[in-house]
Amino acid sequence: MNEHLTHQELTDHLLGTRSATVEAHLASCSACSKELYQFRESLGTFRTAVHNWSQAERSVQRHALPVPRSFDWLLVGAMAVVLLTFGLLFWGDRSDNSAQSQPTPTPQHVTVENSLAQIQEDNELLSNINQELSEGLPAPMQPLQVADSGTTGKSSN
Amino acid sequence: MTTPIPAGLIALAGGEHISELDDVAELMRLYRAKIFRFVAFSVRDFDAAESITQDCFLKAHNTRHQFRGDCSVSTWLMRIAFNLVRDHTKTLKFRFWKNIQATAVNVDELGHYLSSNASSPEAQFLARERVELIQSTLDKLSEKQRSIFLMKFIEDLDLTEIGEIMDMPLQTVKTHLYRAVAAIRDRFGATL
Repeated sequence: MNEHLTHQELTDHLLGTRSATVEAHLASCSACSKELYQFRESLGTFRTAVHNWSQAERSVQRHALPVPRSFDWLLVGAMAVVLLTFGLLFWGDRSDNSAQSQPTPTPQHVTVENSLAQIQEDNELLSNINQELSEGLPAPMQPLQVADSGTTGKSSN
Repeated sequence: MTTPIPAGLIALAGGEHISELDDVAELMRLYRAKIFRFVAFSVRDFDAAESITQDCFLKAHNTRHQFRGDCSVSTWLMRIAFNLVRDHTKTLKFRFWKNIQATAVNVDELGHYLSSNASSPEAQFLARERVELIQSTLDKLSEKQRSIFLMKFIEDLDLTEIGEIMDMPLQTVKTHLYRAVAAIRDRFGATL
């Protein structure tokens, strides 16, 4: 038994090109003739289905109102405007949030300024305040100079 | 002895002829199903196929003076349709978001259009399975392979006519067909 038909021989036969050698082989080889028969039958079935489909689709009007092509551009334009509006709103909201949530400029340079000298100065200021408060309310007749001297004294500290 | 009427002309009484392309309604009645079928299975989108088919007949009517009659009207229309399909598939790359499956040609739907005179339910099931197999394989073919396959096995055009439509040599048409058939045979090989 010789070899089976090549793909090209089989396709040529399918396309209608007849050859005596191929015909002789098909007459003796059941495998090739069966495959060719099944393939041809499948193509025929597919063809029938497609033709029936197109005939049925022709009789059924699936779209009553044809949409003009310019509608596409209107739709795209409208979508672009909506997207732009949302984008601007989102951007504005985001920048407000970032402004609100932005921390006061304390973290780094406060820690830098929290040096020992600064702490000492702050402590002195607080002790002066405590001292003034512990003296009680000034007498109504107390001259203003005292207060002035107090402030100058503070500033000198 | 009567002289042969050139392709695309309709003989009138008195020996006069009119172009077949002048009557759009008649043209669509004769060829719409064929063009629509080819376009629908090429682009696999029902809405796009309707639009392209309409464009095809509009273009044929607008350029009817360019038809020289050296091929049949059917071949000429198929050539216009093929060019429109090619243009459409190029623009699809930029309109991919529109290529949703909502209007696509439904594979399951196609199986329902088989003739019901098959011998048994098993035979009907098998036929439906094969149709779906061919359809799904067609989706995987290149644009040219698919077009040539459809022209040959659905529209039953001969290879020289396909070569004229696609503007390619006969051997190139054959090569594309070999590959298309090979792809389907491969899929069949796994199931048959």
